[in-house]
Amino acid sequence: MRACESTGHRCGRRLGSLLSLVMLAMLFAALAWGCLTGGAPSSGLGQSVDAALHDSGVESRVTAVLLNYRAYDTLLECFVLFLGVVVVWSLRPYRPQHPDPPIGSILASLVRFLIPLMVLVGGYLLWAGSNQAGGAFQAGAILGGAGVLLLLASSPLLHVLPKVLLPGAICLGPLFFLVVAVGAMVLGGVFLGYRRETAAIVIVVLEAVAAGAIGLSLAALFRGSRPEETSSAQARTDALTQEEGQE
Amino acid sequence: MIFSPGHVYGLTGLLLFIVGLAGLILCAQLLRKILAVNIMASGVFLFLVTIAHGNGVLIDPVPHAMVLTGIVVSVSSTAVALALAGRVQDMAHCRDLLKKKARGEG
Repeated sequence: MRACESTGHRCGRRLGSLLSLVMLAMLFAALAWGCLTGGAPSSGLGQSVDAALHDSGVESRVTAVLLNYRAYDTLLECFVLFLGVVVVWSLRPYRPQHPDPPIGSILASLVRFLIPLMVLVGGYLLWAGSNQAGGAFQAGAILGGAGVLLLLASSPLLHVLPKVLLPGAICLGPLFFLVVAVGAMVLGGVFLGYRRETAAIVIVVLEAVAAGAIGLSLAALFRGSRPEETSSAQARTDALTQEEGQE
Repeated sequence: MIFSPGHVYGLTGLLLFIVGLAGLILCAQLLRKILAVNIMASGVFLFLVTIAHGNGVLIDPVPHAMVLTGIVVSVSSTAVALALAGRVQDMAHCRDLLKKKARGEG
């Protein structure tokens, strides 16, 4: 009886997956039909962006969109990243990991060679963002990669840095962006509406801070749990663990 | 209807989206579901970049900026999903241990 039921169950599941595959194929056919017969593509907002480019303070069109015309997108995105770090840290508290295995001398020297190079490339991309491809996200991604490399090699550099640096820098990104946005509103009346004369310098500073915060947040997300805590918080966690142990 | 390289990119983006959607529906494991959502996101990004190319004369920078923003958002959502999946696994492990303990004592 039970075997029969399980066979029926399996049959039903197979039928269900077959049905969903057929529906997905139909969805693809419909979307592909729309894509192929969708008429002439419009030129989008390219002309409007070009027309206002000399007011934006930068020469790169994508950077102009990201940090001037649609800067609130970038502002909200900084907050999304910040929120991601907060959620990950709340869900996965600090756990003392098993002692780091000793890393090979090749990896150690590779890290020593690569980290300054990555910081340099990140800085160049940040600077290049104002007139060609590049910008805060690309620089942040490179810096995040450098952080991941440091974490994987369990570099002694990680233990030298002060412990408040990481949360502080991750908070600084969105906060600084918000301060600039509100400051622009107080001075000019428009949220995130920079003045034409100061736009260039504001964008470069904003990008530098955002790139640092993005890189650190990405590395923190890669680590996946809260970093080592300060002594008082650590003591509280220890007390909690002890209570749980007694229960 | 003229079949252009843009159509190839657009159709590839659609195909990636559908493959990801299939993975999301058909795979039971959480990690596979997270990977499937990432594949769907890649399909959407490819499609958006194709749209940005438009007629090829004047490239629209707005979808490019949206894709850049979207990549960072998808990284953070993946990290949150992975943290949640890890939590689910921890709790399942805990429950199994409790069950084993109860069985051992009973």
